[in-house]
Amino acid sequence: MSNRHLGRVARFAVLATAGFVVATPAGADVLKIGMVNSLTGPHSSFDLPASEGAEMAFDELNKRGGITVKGKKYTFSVVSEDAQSKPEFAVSGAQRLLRDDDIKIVFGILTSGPGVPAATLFAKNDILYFGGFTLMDTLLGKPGFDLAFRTLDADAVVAKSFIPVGVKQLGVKKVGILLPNEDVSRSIVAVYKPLLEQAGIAVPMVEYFQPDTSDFGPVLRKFQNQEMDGLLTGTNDAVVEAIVRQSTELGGLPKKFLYRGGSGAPGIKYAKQIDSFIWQILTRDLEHGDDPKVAEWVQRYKTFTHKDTSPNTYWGLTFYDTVFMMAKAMEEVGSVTDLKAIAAKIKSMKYDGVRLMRYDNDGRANSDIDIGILTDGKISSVRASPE
Amino acid sequence: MWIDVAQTVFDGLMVGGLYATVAVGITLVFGIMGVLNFAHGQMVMLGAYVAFFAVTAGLGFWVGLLLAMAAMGLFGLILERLIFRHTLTDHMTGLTVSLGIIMVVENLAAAVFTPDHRNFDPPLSGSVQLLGITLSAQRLLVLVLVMGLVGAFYLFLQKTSFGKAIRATGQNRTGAALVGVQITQITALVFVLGSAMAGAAGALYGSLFAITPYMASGPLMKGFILTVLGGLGSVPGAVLAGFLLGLAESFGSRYFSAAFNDGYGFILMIITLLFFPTGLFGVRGKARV
Amino acid sequence: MRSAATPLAQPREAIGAAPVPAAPHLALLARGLPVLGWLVLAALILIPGIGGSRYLLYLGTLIALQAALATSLNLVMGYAGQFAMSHATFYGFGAYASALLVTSAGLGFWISVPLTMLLAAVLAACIGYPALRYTGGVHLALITFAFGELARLLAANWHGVTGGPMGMRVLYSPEPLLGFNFATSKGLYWLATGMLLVSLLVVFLVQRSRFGRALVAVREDEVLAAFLGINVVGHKLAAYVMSSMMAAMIGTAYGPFMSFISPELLNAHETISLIGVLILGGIGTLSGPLIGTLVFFGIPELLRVAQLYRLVILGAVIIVGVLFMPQGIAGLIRQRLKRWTRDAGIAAPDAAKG
Repeated sequence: MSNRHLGRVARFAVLATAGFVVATPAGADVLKIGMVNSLTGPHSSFDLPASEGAEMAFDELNKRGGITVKGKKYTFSVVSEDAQSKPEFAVSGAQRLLRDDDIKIVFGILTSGPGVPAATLFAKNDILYFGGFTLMDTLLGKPGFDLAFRTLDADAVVAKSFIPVGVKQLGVKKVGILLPNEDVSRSIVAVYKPLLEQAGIAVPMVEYFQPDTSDFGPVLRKFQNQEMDGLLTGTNDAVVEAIVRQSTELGGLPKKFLYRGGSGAPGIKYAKQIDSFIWQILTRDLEHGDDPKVAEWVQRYKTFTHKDTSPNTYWGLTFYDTVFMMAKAMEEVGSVTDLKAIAAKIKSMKYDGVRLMRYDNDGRANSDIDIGILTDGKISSVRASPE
Repeated sequence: MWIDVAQTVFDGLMVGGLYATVAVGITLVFGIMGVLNFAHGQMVMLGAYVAFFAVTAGLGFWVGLLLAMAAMGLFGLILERLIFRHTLTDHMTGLTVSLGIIMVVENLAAAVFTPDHRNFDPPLSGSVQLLGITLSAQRLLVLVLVMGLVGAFYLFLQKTSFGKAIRATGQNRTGAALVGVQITQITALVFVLGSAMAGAAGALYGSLFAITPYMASGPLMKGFILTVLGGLGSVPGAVLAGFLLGLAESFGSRYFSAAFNDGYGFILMIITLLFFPTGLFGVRGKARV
Repeated sequence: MRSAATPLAQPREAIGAAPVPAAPHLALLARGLPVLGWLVLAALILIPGIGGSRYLLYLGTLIALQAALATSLNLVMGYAGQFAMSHATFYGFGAYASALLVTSAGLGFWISVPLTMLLAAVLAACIGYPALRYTGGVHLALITFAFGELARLLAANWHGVTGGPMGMRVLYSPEPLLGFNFATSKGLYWLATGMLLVSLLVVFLVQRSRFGRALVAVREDEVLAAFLGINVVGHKLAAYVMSSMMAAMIGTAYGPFMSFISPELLNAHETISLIGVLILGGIGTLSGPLIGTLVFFGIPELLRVAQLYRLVILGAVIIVGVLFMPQGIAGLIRQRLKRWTRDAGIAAPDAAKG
């Protein structure tokens, strides 16, 4: 290196250290938290609000002065990576987080495609990992995954309330199932079909379409003119919107929809052409409920992100309460590095935040959810608690 | 049962017509300029976005369609002037350059437009009853429009003097130059026309299906398949092959597997390449060594 | 594809021109540069191996695999001049096939490698033969592109076999071989580097062989080569099959490395990226793929440039490179070297570096 170059490097180093000193409140250490989420791409409708909610939680913790563990103060800083809705970028984002040896705790990812490989990588590296994706249920409880949590209820839990509410509100008798040709879909069918049949509903057809289909005409026509009055479909807003729109265009198709996943946006957009639409809100209904804690949270969200709420903002509550649970666990355990103890503490807590959160021994969430309903042009929601 | 078949036929014709609108550009450019333009699909994608922005700006679908065709025609002219004119003699360079264009256009579009799905409200919505069959109104409109576009294209090639000049260039470039055809003018015209057709196809795609920056590879692949099926360089071949493929896919998805929709075209293409080197109705083919 | 820097041509002395005064230090530099290049390569390979930060190992493995892919593509595109758009497809095929052989058939990793390569060879022969019968590159480009898309479609939808669009999880690692443990990150890094060295060796040997010279002849003028008695179709097919086999071999390392295989690996866009890297570095040279991969993968990764913009720049590089600088970086360097040695009146070293 030339002398001039060396001087430049030295100057930068001094400034960086000074900046670091200034930013940290006197005497507090900074805990680095990693986040990997699909900030872009089709899965961003889930992940982006979730990441915002988590960042909001950490910001609120910092504003309170951080946490105090064994007399020492700690604040949080978040390092965020973009998984771009693709498994390979989730993995490379995870690798980039792992390159920083200070990052031992990671939040993120609500979709199974990017989630499964990332979670496997985190488990291999003993990271305390909080995810939200469906197939995490198949990983939890397996050896090596004792530091992993899924912060959203499993389908098996959700369906137990979703199906009865749906059947009652929609009044369906014969329902077809239309899902993309993926792993997640098969687990969905395995859970929902028996429950539908138990409720006395006939399920004459289950069809899988090519995941990147844009023309649903051919596959929808298989459902035509069969006197089905309901369609159970998923798994993200873009796909379901296309299905709803094209089924109204083709005619002769069911006009009542049960949407596993996502938001009410597809139904609301075509409200005039369909009869009814029911969807799962795995956290809280932000728009049509009357819970004061939810209303306050929405206000804080708007202030923090400078954005208005959208039908997908409810995913912002995916990690929110769990962040506080983790902070509380650290204080009660008396360590910020003993991940096993922190995890065990979280599993023993019952936390009444915006959601009522509890985790079982495998790290599965058991919380209450809301179900969104659109009938006769009117939108409402009901709360469903786990047994 | 017959209603099902009739609906499947209509849908197959519509989808096939869309594919053909994309394919005529590819096959014509290849026949006249020798360049296999991989970036053709990008024009479809950009045409869809032009129509989307036109409709959201309140200009309406028809203006959007015309704008898409004009914008893509202009884009094609720019590409031809700047790049493809220089590759008339070295065809593989043209192919390689088109690969580079794909990367630039697609990723710039993703950066500028974001990968979110876009939709615009089509001019017609809901379904209509025709002879006792329920058909989607917009799909019917698209079918009529693609028939019109492809028909107009064919008539242009057959009846107008420009069209005759194009066909002459395709048959024998030197001969055409000898009788006074301006080759550089013709290559520009061919590229502009092909791109405009692609832009129209894009606008029509956008009126039915979701628009994303990555939507180019579907129509491009179908365009290539039709080009091969119809014989490289043969416009009527591509059109005929388009309707055939559309029907094959429609019936295949309806009565067999919907999960393997795109596979039918590939199988047809591979069979053609193996056993019918000049295409199913081919007039031209490449020499063997 | 034509290259302005033919690897086996001898420099031509300018006829009748007065010799430029000798610049012996430049000529010495030119002579020494290839050796220096090998040393730099050895150093680059050793850094992650010895330094061993987790991320550096990960990056190193990724770059080694990509460089090996580019080198093997160079065999069919650079030396034989054929447009094989299916290279990334065979890479993915190698990954899926060896993963299936290991998990479903219960074979060991090291046995699955040659088996996968054999399967790839058969597949490449089946696809290549009909396409290569025609002159010009268009038919091969079309068929290989279509094959690539079809393979991706199969991988994304053949749910039962490949796990569908969300990919296949890979939980095995290569077994220890000759006392080396390949299951760790370091071990996988050495595996990837080994594959890179094997690819380089293959191309190096081909370059010096009669087979390689025949390939160049075919690339430059197929009809003339046929007149000279060269079996054009046979040579083209051999180059295509060989490079596809190598791509499959490299693919077998992908599964254990990434712990999962996604159908997007077989995407035609991946092959286009490889072509871009080749053009950037220099087609038809030994060092070209290496330089291109380092520039395209290493630098943006270290600078954390967003993925989208990297690809835009690569596309622009392809366009500009093909039109104005078809020899690439390595080719430019070699031309400069030749000029220096020619000016000094010393014959250029016989393509030691490429």
